[in-house]
Amino acid sequence: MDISIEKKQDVTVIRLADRFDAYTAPAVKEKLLALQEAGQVNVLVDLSAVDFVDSTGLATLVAGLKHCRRAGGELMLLGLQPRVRVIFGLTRLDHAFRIFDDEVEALRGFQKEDDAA
Amino acid sequence: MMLHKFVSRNRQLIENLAQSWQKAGAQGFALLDSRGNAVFGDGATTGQQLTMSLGQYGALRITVGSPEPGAVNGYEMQLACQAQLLTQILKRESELESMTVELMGAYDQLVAMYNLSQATRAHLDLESLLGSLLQETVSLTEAERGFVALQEDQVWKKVASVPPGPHPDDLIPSLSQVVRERGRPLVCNSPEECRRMLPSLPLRVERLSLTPVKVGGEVVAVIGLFNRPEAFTAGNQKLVSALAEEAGSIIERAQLQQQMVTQERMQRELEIAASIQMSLLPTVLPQIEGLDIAASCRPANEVGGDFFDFVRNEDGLLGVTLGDVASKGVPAALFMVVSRTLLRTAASLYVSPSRVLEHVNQEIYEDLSNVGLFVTAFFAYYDPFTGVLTYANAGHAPVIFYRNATASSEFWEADGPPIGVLPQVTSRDYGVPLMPGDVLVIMSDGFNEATNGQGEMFGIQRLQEVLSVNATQSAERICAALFSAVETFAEGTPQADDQTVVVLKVVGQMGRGEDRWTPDAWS
Repeated sequence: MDISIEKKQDVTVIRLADRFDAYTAPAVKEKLLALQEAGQVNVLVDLSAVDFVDSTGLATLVAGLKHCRRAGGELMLLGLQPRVRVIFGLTRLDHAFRIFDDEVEALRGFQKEDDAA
Repeated sequence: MMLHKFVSRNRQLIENLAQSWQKAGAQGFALLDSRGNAVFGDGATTGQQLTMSLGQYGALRITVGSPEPGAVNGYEMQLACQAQLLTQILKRESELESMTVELMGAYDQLVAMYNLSQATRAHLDLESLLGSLLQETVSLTEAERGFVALQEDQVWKKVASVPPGPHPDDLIPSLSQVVRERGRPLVCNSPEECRRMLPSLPLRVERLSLTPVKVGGEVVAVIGLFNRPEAFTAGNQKLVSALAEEAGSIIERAQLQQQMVTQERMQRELEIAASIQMSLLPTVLPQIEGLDIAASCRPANEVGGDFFDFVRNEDGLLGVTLGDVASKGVPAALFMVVSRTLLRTAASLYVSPSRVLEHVNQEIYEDLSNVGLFVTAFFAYYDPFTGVLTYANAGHAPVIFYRNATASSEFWEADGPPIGVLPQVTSRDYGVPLMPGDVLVIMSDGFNEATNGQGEMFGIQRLQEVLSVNATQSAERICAALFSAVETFAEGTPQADDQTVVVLKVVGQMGRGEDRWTPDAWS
């Protein structure tokens, strides 16, 4: 799986591609752990190039979300393809995550979190 | 050299020859080596001398003083014959000797190979095997020192060295990389050549031989030899290459063994997880009047974390649950055990499905957070006296309800995320009175996410259609129809996740509590 990392102000954007499942999730998990250790608590996961997410992929995102929140930050999602959006809908994980279609808006979302805090 | 050996081995013969010449009137008889030094006889130079060449081996010379004219011709002929004979003998001897040397060499190699095969049997670990292989290589080639480097995860690691201990270790990775890129042996026989190949080589390295070890055409290791008294010969290199082949098969065998161990362990883990899952699932379904119940779980090769359960509480309610741990294998199986136990406990404490789920979440939230997992769960109570089903759904799908009165099915979506995602469960309770002919089908996502060869998912829509078509059948038949529809759709694509289903169907005129509790029922 292709994973690229980009820093935008105090938000780290992780872009994933293709399938996000039991086989590719460990690599993503490793990257998320590395970000935590580096003290990066605001993470935006760009899923716009991901066409499939299985429960292990979802669990990886949930774990990342919890860690970010515990450290006073937030993990948000960007660009869910219809097929992926369905899975988030079925599991009602769309209630747990803040999900954006537009990157600028997502980054503004982090800004608001900071203002609120 | 050859002549010296010949003379010392055949002194009697040569002496006889000298005597015969003496009797024939010659004053001197000598065998000279290729540089003209006498190996046998004197170097007397008085009188007339006749010399016949022995080719590369030297010459045969007699001193005849002053013979009668005509006699010289006879001497010459005889001498020429003897010289020819001697040359032939010398040639044979020399051939024999070189054959003996070769034979000895071959014997040494044979012994080395034998030692190696013994070592292969005696040792099990790769490092000591390659160590003994290197030991043999170094002693056979008379190299001063040697190493074997193995590439693991793109990094070169020294696994053996002779003599053991410190080596120009820091050079091993770069030397090995050079050979890996080259793909064939590299021999440098002068300090200059060595330096040209790798400028950072220390001056004490004057000669070196680097040989790749391949497994399946890929360079996986390198045998390096430093310095020997003379240049590394083609013969040396041939030998090292043969040993490199042996090293290749040793490494391959070790890798295969490692793979087998890993596979065996994984297989064992799969079996453990599968047996945990199977031991959890109820084997006997509850008997509830007016309710036709069927349930089945078709596990994937690697257990996907599905479970279902039925409980009767003190109020006579039937608790039905179906859950899916978002993980695979042993971790999934362990959380299945915990989740099911907690659900059972909670069912004895609360009559509200959402409270049941909330209880489980409180107990398990921290544990799930620590390992980064969650559990989707559907929990329902069926009240056989009122015929009302109350349910709560924490991120679980798909749940489909077929309403007999309208002959249509509806999808009961979750209203909150799974257990373990948020500190509190946000799902609420919903109550639905069940009528005869109504069917509730609770499945795991292994059904709707089953894919066919084109990567297309089965989806919830198709599940609804299967249910609508089969709704008049028994719960058992509906169950079977769902499995067979998914299987047909998958076209042999391996099942990636567990497929679990629970079917509840209201049968007969009974099922409404009001009906059951009329005085007639007692009469």
